[in-house]
Parts: sequence; C-alpha cells; structure tokens
Amino acid sequence: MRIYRKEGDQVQLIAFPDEHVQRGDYLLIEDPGLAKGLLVQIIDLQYANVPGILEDILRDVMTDGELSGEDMDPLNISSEVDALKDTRLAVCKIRGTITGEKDLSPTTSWLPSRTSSRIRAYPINRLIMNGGKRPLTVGHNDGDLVQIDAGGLDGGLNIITGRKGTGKSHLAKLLLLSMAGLGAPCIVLDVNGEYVNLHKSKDGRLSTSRLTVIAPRSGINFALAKLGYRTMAGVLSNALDLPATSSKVFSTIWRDLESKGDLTLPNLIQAVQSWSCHESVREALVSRLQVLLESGLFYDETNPLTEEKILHAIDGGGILVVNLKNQSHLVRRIIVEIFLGELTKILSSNWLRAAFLFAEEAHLYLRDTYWDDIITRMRHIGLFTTFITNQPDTVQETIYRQADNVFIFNFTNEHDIETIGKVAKSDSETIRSLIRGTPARRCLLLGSVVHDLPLMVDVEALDVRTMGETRLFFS
Amino acid sequence: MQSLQGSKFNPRPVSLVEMGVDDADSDERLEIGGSITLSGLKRCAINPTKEFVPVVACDASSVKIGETETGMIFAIRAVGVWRQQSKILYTRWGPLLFHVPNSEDVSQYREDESRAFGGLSLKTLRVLTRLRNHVERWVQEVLSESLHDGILLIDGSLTAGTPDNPAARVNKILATARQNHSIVIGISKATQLTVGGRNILGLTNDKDTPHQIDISSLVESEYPPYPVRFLGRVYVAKLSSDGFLFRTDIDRESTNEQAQQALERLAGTDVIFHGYPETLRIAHIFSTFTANEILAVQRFVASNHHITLQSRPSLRRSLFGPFGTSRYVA
Repeated sequence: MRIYRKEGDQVQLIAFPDEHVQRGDYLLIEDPGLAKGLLVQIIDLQYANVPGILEDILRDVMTDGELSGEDMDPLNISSEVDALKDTRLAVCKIRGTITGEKDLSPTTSWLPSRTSSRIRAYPINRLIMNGGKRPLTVGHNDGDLVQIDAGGLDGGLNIITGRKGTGKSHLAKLLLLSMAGLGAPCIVLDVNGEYVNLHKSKDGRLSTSRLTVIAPRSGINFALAKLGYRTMAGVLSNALDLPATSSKVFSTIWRDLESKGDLTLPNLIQAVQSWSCHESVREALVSRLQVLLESGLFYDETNPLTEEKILHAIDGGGILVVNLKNQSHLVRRIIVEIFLGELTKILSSNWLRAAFLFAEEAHLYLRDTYWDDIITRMRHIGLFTTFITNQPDTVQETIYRQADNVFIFNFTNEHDIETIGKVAKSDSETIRSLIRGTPARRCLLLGSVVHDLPLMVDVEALDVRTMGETRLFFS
Repeated sequence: MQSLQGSKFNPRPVSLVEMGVDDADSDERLEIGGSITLSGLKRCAINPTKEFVPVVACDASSVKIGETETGMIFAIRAVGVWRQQSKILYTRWGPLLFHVPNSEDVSQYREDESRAFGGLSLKTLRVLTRLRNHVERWVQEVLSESLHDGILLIDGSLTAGTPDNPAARVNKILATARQNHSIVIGISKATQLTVGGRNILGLTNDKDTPHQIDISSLVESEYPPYPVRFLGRVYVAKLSSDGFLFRTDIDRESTNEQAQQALERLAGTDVIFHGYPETLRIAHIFSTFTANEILAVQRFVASNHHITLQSRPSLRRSLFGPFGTSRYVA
C-alpha cells in the first residue's frame, strides 16, 4: 500500500489486489524517520479510477459479444494489467497518532512520509480493551476476538439500531446475558416475547442465567395501595391522558380512600361514581379506571408485584423480562409507566445501586416526555437504558446526541442513514460509509466502549433460544 | 532480460489520459516531383459486392517501457483478426519484451544527445523498428499460410527493400497468399506521399462515392526501382461514401480486375468505419498499448527481474514545464 494523498481529515491509499483490505479496517502509517504512526480507518474502498482504465475496459467489452479470441501471453503480463484494473483506492479517516506500542493521541497535525512510510494493518482490539477489567466478548473483527469493557456500558445511554433482521435483538441479548453474567441487574421491556427463552440453550437445556419472565395475569399484578398516589396519578395522566381538572378530583378521592384504608381499584371506581363532582369529570375518571380494571393488571390486589419482588428478581445479576407481547398499546404504556415508577422508587431508595433497562421498540410504549426523563433524571439515579429499534427516526435527535454508545447494523434507506448520521460519537461520513452494505450480524460500534474508535464487529453467535416460541405454519 | 537482474530502471512516464500508444507507428515519406500532374489518372467506382470473403487483418505495435543503465526495454505486440460469417476471432501475441543495449562505444554513448532528452537514439530506433517489423512480418506469414480464398489486410504499404524491411520477406508473404488464392491489401492510415506538393489523400472531395485512383504509374516513374521497391500497386481508395481516403497498396502481381474485385469484396464484406476496414481497425486497437498496460509491464519488469524503479528527472519537463511536449518519445 502507498499513500496517494491527504485531504482534510482523510488519507487516500493505493492498495493492490493482493493486499487484503476491507471497510472498517484500521491501518497504521508508520514513519520510521519520525518514530510515530498515523492511525487511520478505511471508510470506503473505490477503484483507483485512472482515466486510462476506461480504454482497457472498453477493449474488454468489445470481446464480450461477437468478438472472441485468445492471448498468447508468454510472460503473463495480462495478469499485471488485471491487477492494475483491480487496484483500489482506500479512503481513510485519520483517527489519531500512535507513539510507542499503543499510546494513542488525537493529534493529527503531522504528515507521514509518502516515500518511506510503511503501512500495515493495526490490531485495534488492543486499544479497545486497553486496561479493561470486565471483558465482554461481542464478536470478531476479521477473525480476531473483540472484547469490550463492560464498564463502558455502565452509567450510559446506549442505542442499538439497524434494519429488521440484521441482528439488533441478537446483540441486545448478548449484552444482556453478558451484563447479567457480570452481576448487573437487568430489566427487559420485551414487545415481541423474544427474550422469554433466554435461559434455554438451542437444544432446550437450561443455562445458569437467572431469568424471571412476567406478563399480565402471569406475575404482573399490581395493588393501588402498594403503587401509591404518585405512580397512579402518573399512569392516569401520562398513559391514559387524564385532564388536569379530573386529576385534582382524583387526588381528593384517593386521599379520602387512603385515609379509610380502602384503597382498591373496585373501591376507587365505586367512590368516583358516588362522588359529588361534574358529570364530565366523573365520566373521565370512571372510563379510565375501567380500562385499568379490564387490563387485568389489578386482578388480585392482595398479592401484588412489589418493589421487593422486582428487586429479588434482578439483584445480583438477574434478568427480569416484562413480556408485553400481544398487549394493546394502552396496556403496554400502563405497564411501562408503572414499571418505571417502581424502578425509580427502588433506585431512589438506594435498595439497588443501579439497573440496566433494555427497551425494545420503545416508541411503542414510551411517552414522549419520558425520553428526556430517562437520559437525565433516571440516569442520575442509576437507570441505564439501552434502546433497541429498527426505526431510528422514532428516537429523538437529542437522544442520539447524548448516547454514550451506539451499535449500528445495516441500513439501506437514505432517510434512516441520515437520521443515524446525527450520532455525536462519530462523524456522519464514517457512519454512512461503514454501515452501507454490511451483512447481517455485522455491527458498527461507536462510543465509549470502543474509546471513540469506530469498530466493525461480526457479532458472536449465542447458544440460546433467541426467538420467542413463535407459532409457525411451515415448521 | 535475465542479465538485468538487480539493476536500476528508469520507467517511462505515462499519461493515463493518452490512448493507444505505439512508438514505431510512423508515416512513410515519399514525395513525387512538382512537375507531375494528376491529369490522365483514371478514377474507378467501387461497388461493394455482398459475396462473403474471409478477411484477415494484422497489426503490430511497439512501445518503450523504460531505460536501464545499459539500454532500453521495449514491448512488442502483434494481433491477427479473422472476420468470419457470424463472428470475429482474434489472436494476440505478446507483449514480448526486448532489452536493446546502448552502443558499447562509451564515447559515443556520452555524445548521444537524443538520449539526454530521454528519447531514442538512431541506433535504438532502428533496432526497435527492425524488431517490430520482424514480429509483424512473422504474423503476416502465418496468416498468409492459413488464409485461403480471402483478403489479407496489413497495416501500412507494400513498399519494401530497406535493411529494416527486406523485400524478400514481403515477397514471400505475397507469394504464399497468391498460392492460397488470397490477395494482400496494405492500407496506410497516414501517408506523406505527395504529388506536386499536395498530399494524395486530398485528391478528391468529401462527397465522392466509393472509388479508387491508381497512382502506381506516378509513383513508379518518380522512384528508381532499387533499393526501395513498390511490391504493390499504389491506389488512393475511398471505401465508403462517408469515409476518408487511404493509400491502398495491392499485390502488384494481381491484375487490375483482381485488385478492383478485391476492393469491392472488401467493401461488401467488412464493416467500413469512416472508410477504414473494421477488421484492421480491431487489429490496431488490440495491438496498441494502453497507458495502464505500460504501467503493468513496468511492474512486471520490476517485480520479475528485481529491477529497482528509479525515475530520472525529466530535463524536458524541468526546462519547459507545461510548455514542453507531451509525447512519450522525444
């Protein structure tokens, strides 16, 4: 490989066909005279399109149709011509300067010699896991194992995104199991029931993972008295859009029942029906409380799901899967609202140091105002969220800008690529170039887990039942 | 070439926008006295006949690859193209590499001014022309033997008789073709043949229908029969209405009628592109070197003979900058 030219923060290299290079690879341009090297990453591969190539190709095209023949080429020089035709131009982004063995600095204010520099593949993995104490295997990069430090996922906001079927959920499951394996408390908001068998291997054996799956009428059962006024007011206002005037009446009725020790959902409905208030307020309250009653989330208020039970399920590396499969949009919103309220209570009370929330297709159940809440307030009390979505435009731009780690799989839609390009952890050109045409299960890692060095990874296979038990016709 | 192992090599600079490089593709210079007039020359129409005739064309190209410490490296390639009823076949021989050493006389080497400008010395140029002619004639011999009842098209004239282009060799090709009931036609892309100071290619106007003018009598009366020998009848021919005029040489042993018939069958069988036979055009395209092929040969030489590429600064470029010539050969 040879340096062709530098323009801005890009270096273009000439690579011959026998030199194995691919998009995402890291190269070190070592200048022996200066005893340092420029670390660059290939973001695009093009043909070295010199004008004369056109004539060669046109000649080749001529022989494709009615013209055919043979070459008596005793020195096999045509292979050299073919090599020239296949010579590639590697467009690289400068990532920093390496001095010594692995001291990376962001300095890019120097140029390596074009004549004496040596270009070689750089094993970036050694920089990624540099000094990390909790190795978490995510996959392979060109055959080399890629491990990230789980500490990089701690205290942050993560986004996993990509087209449907490219491996987002697979990576989420890998991270989830690995984090749980390291003792991290994890909660999954599972829209499609994909996580319910994570504790089983493909052949049905049970693993050591501590998995608790709950669903409406199967573990998810709340009691008004346990949830408290704040959570219930939040549910009515945020999930069920109760008007402010009705909320005030609700507050009065709640306090009345609470003082009598009669706080159950049927009692609450009865109290509202007999309460002296405007008919429209009564109607608004009763209709919403009926929704709660019919949701099946309050079927037995004598034995509710409590903070203690949630804590027990996740503390010390347990995974709590909240199965939202087959639930209506409204029920999902109610469950999530209650769960986030409960988690806030647990974390605010310091019963738990922190928890990791994996939210699949969060736009389906998370109200708009919660996005900001999650990345600001909840983050500070120790709830670290990973959003998983195949619709990147459903996540607000502010979320992308504040994300600490972003895992991007393949996208082909220009609009999606445009949205993803706003991620602050890398320049949009790198993201656009690297994610186009990537195969399934190959992912671009950005953010603190890779020390802001964008890295392409073929995500590790998992020996777990990664799909829910989907009923198939052609089984 | 084997003796070059480990030496240094100054590769020829190539411009990748220049197409089809052939260093030895030069025009023939023949001038017929100013007193000669064109009156009395007979102009015959060419009426293309649709009767198929096998057409075979041949061309060769040579190109300078670079300079070594002791000489120059050249590549030569020759092509034969067969037009058949429904398809066109070709065979390419080469590139064949040759190292042409400089004069062994050191004093002469130093005085060789053309070399100082990166060009070809007279001696080197002659060796190159001879090598190229040798390869091209060899291919023509092969084709004349394999072609029966057809037309053999060659690039250039049928003028021979110099040490670089011996008449015996051309005679042999013509004779072999005759034995096989074929006819040899030489078509020159450019000629310096002038009559009364006027290039023969300006003898007729653009709107003329296909025709030929036999100017053999003019040419032969002006030149002594030795050493340069006109082994063909010399025509100025226009093979298509929208085409250019070309100097066309046809085996002089053939009769006028045979020559006329050959031109008509050629015009009827081959695709005539701007007045030039497509078969010969393909042979030319396939034999010339592209800039990338020159780079490829340089890479081959460097990697297979362990020769160090060491570009010497171009005096011409240093002195004249963008006002210097862009030609490869000084």
